[in-house]
Amino acid sequence: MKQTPDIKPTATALLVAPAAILMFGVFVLPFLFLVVLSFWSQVPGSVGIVPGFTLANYARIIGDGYYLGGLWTTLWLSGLVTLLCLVLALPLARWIVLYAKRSKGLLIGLCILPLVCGALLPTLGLVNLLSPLGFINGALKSMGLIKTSLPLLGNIAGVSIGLVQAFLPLMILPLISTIERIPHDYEKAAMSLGATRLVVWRRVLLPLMLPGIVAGSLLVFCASLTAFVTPQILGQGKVVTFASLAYQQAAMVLDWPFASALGMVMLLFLALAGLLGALVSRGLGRRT
Amino acid sequence: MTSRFSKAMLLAAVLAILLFLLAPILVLILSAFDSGNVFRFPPRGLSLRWFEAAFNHSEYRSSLWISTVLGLLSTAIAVGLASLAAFGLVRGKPSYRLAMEVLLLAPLTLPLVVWAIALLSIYAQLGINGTLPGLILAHVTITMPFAARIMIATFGEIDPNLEAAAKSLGASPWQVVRRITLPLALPGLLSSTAIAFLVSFNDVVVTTLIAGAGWITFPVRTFSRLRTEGIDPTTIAIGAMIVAFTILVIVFGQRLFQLSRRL
Amino acid sequence: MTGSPYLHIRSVQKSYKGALALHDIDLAVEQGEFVSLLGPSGCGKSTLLQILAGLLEPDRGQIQLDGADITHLPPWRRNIGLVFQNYALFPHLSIRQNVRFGLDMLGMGRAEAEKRVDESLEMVGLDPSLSRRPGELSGGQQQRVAIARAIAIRPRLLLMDEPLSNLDAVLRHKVRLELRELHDRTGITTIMVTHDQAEALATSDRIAVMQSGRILQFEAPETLYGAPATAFIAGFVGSPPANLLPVTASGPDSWTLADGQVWQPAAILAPKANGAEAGRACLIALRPETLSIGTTGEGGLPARVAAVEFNGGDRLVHAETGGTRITVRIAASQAITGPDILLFPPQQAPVLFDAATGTRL
Repeated sequence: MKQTPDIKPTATALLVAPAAILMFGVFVLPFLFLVVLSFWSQVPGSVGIVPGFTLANYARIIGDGYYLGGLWTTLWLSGLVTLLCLVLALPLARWIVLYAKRSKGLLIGLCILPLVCGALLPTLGLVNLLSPLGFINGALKSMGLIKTSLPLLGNIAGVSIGLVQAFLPLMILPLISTIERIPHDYEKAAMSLGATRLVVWRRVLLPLMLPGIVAGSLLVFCASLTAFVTPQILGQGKVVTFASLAYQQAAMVLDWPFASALGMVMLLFLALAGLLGALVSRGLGRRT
Repeated sequence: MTSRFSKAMLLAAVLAILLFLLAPILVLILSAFDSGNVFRFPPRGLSLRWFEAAFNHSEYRSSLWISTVLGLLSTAIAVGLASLAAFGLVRGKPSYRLAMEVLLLAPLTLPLVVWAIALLSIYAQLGINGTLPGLILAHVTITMPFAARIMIATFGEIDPNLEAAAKSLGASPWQVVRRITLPLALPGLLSSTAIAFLVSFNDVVVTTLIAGAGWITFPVRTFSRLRTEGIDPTTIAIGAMIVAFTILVIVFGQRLFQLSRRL
Repeated sequence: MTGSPYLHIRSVQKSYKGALALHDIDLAVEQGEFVSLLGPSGCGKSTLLQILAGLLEPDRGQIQLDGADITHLPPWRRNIGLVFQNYALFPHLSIRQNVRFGLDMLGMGRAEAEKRVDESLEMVGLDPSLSRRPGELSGGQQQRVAIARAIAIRPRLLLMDEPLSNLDAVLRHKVRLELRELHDRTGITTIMVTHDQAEALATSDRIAVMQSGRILQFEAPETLYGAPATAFIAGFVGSPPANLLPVTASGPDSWTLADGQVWQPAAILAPKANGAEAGRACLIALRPETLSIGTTGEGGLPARVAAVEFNGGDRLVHAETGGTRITVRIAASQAITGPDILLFPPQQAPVLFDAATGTRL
C-alpha cells in the first residue's frame, strides 16, 4: 500500500524521547558548556574554576608561538592526510563497487576494522611496523637495501601513516555509497561518444563522485585535526599536534578553561572546513 | 591500454592499499608471537610466552574485565534506546525525523576529544568523574550513533505491510512486535550490538579523559603505560587477541547477518 | 436479514496533512458480492481499503459490517482478510507458517489449524506439502500464498490491494480469472482495489469508480460501460476507452465541431433530440466498436485516417475529425479505401456530457 500505517505522534515522541534527551543532555549540552568555560579561568594550582568573563585563554593561544605552531602543524598535517586518504580510497572504493561481488560485504567489513578497533590497537601494531628494529626497517636491512634504520617514528612521516590508516575507512564508506549510485552506463555512454578514459574520469566520474569526496574529506580532515592518540604514540612527543596540547591541558595540567579554549579553536577550524565543503558542493551543484 | 590490463593494474593497486590498511593489525598479531622483550624483524624466535604472561597479569585482567562490563552495559543501553528511537523515527515519520537523526549521529562527526574535555569539567562539577555511571553515560553516547544508524537502516528495510498483514490476521500490537518486527530486526540488532560493543570496548579517546583511577579500561591502561614505559609485549599479546576477536566478530557478523549492509 | 446491507460505509471522510483524501464516501455492499474500487492513483481507493481494514481511522463517518459498527475496532479484532500488492509474506516463516499465522492468533488447536492450512493451500491451487520459504517462490505462487493466508481465517470480508499489478501480463490474465473462480467457490464478500479498468470489468459484480476522493458511480460493469455517469468514466473505462467528441449545439439540427466545421447528424443524435439548447458545449461519447466507416451517406462525420493498427481479429483506425482524434474498431477483414472517410455513429440515443462539468445530460 502506498500510505503505510503510521504510529501515533505521541507514541513516536515517547519512543524517540529517551535517546534524544540522553544525546542532548550528554552530548550537546557539554559543547554549550565548553563555550562558556573557555571564557572562564582557572584558580592557579587547583582544579577550581573562576566563573568570570575573560579573554585570557584565547590571548594565551594567539600570543604563544608554541600553540600557533602546533595549530599550523596540525592543519597541514590534516590536509596531507585527507589528500592521501582520497588518493588511496578512490581506487579501493571503485573496485569494491564495480568488481567485488561476493566478497563485497567482507571487504567493507575489513575496511571498517580500523574504526571499530579504536585508535590504540592498530597504533601498537604500527609502532612495531615502523620502529628502527621493526618490520619495515628489518626487512629492508635483511634485503641489504639500507645499512642504518630509516627514521619512521617520532616524525611527521610516521604520524601521517598512522592517521591515514586510522581514517581511511571514513573516506571509503561515503565514496562507496556515492559510487554505488552512479549508473555504470554513464561511463559506457561517455566512451561511446568518444571520450578517453582520462576525460571520462575528469568530466563524468569525478563530478558525480563529488558529494562522496566532499563528505569523506570532511570526515577525515575533522578526525585528523582532533586526533591525539595516534600522534602522541607515533610522534613520540616530537610531533606536537593541537589536540594533544588540548589533551595535556585537560588530563594532566587540569586547566579546563584553557583546554576548552583550545577545543573551541578546533571547533572553529572544523566549522570553517565544513563551510568550505558546503561551498564546494554547492558551487559544483550549480555548474552541473 | 586494454581493459583487462587496466583491471589487473587496479586490482594490484587495490591489494596494495588493502595491505597498507590492514598492515598494523597484521603486524600486531604477528609480533605477539615474537619471543623477545622488544619486537624486532626478522623475529629471533616464536613463542607464546607473552600470551601466558597476559593471562597471569592481574592488572591487565582486571582492566579487561572493566572494559567488558562497561562495554556490555553501555551496549545494552545504547542499542535499546537506539532501537526504540529508530522504530519511532522510521514508522512514525515525524516532521522532526531529520533533526533527530542529526542529533543521534552527531558524535560521528563532531570531535570526541573536544566533547570529552567539556564532559570532564561537567563531571567534575557534578562529582561523577571516574564513576561507573559517568563512564556508562559517556560510552552510551559514543556508541549510540553506530547503533542508531544500523537500527534506522534495519527498520527501514522491514516492509510496514508485514506488520499491517499480521494485524489483519488478528495479531495485537505486542504480538506483531514479538512475532514479526523483532525476528525481522534480529540481524540488525545483532549487528548494532556487535559494533557498539567493539566501539565501547576499544575506545581510548574519551575514556582516557574521564576514566579516573577507579575504572581503568584496558585501552586506557595501555595508553598511559605506552607514554611512560613504551610498549610492553604483554600488551601486544592482549591487543592481538582483541584484534583477532574483533576480526572474528566482523567476519562472522558478515556471514551470519550481513553486518556491512547497514553500516 | 433486516434489509440493511452487509457492508455499509456511511459518510466516511479522511484527510491527510490538510488535504481531503476521502470525501463523504457512501457505499453499500451486499453479502457475497465481488466489488472493485477503480480509479487512477491518488483517487483515495487505497485509503478507503485501509480504513476498511482498520489500519487507518476515518475522521468521521461510520462503517458497519454484518450489522455491527466496526468503525473504531482495531484491525486485529475485525477478522478481515487482506491481500497486498507486494504480497507481504513473512520472510522469516515458511509458507505453511505464513498461512497458519492467523489461525495461531485465533488460538486454534494444532490439528485443526494444520487441516485448515491444507484446505486453504488447496483452494488456491498450491501443493500443501510445500515446505519452502516465500522468497523461493515465483510471483504468482507468492500471490496464491498471500490469498491462502487471508482466506484461512475465514474472513468476513476479503480486501485486495492491487493484487495483480506485480504479475506479468500473461499471468495477470490467468490469475484474475482464478480470483473470480475462488470468490464464487468461497462466497467471501470481496473488495478489490485496482487502477486497471479491464481487471475490474472482468472480475467484479459491481464497480465503484473513484476520482479525487469521491465515488463517481457504483454500478455493474455493463452499466458502467454502456451508461457512464461522467465524461471521466467514459474516457477511463474500456480498451480503448470511449472517444469524447467536443461539440457545440449550433441549432436544433446541427453541431459545430472544435475546428468550426458544422456537422448535421441523424435526427436521434441532433441537439434537439438530446435537449441541448443552441450554444451548449457538449462531449459526445462514441465507443470505438459502435462507430462504422463509410465513404458516402447522410449524417457522417468527415474524417481523415492518421494511422491503422492491426490487432489480429480487428483493426483500430485512428482518424482526425473536426480537430479531434477518434479511434474506431473495425473488423480486420474490412478494407480502408483512402485517407478521407466518413464516420457513422450508431442510430441510437447518444451518451452526452456537459463539456464544462463532465456530467451526463
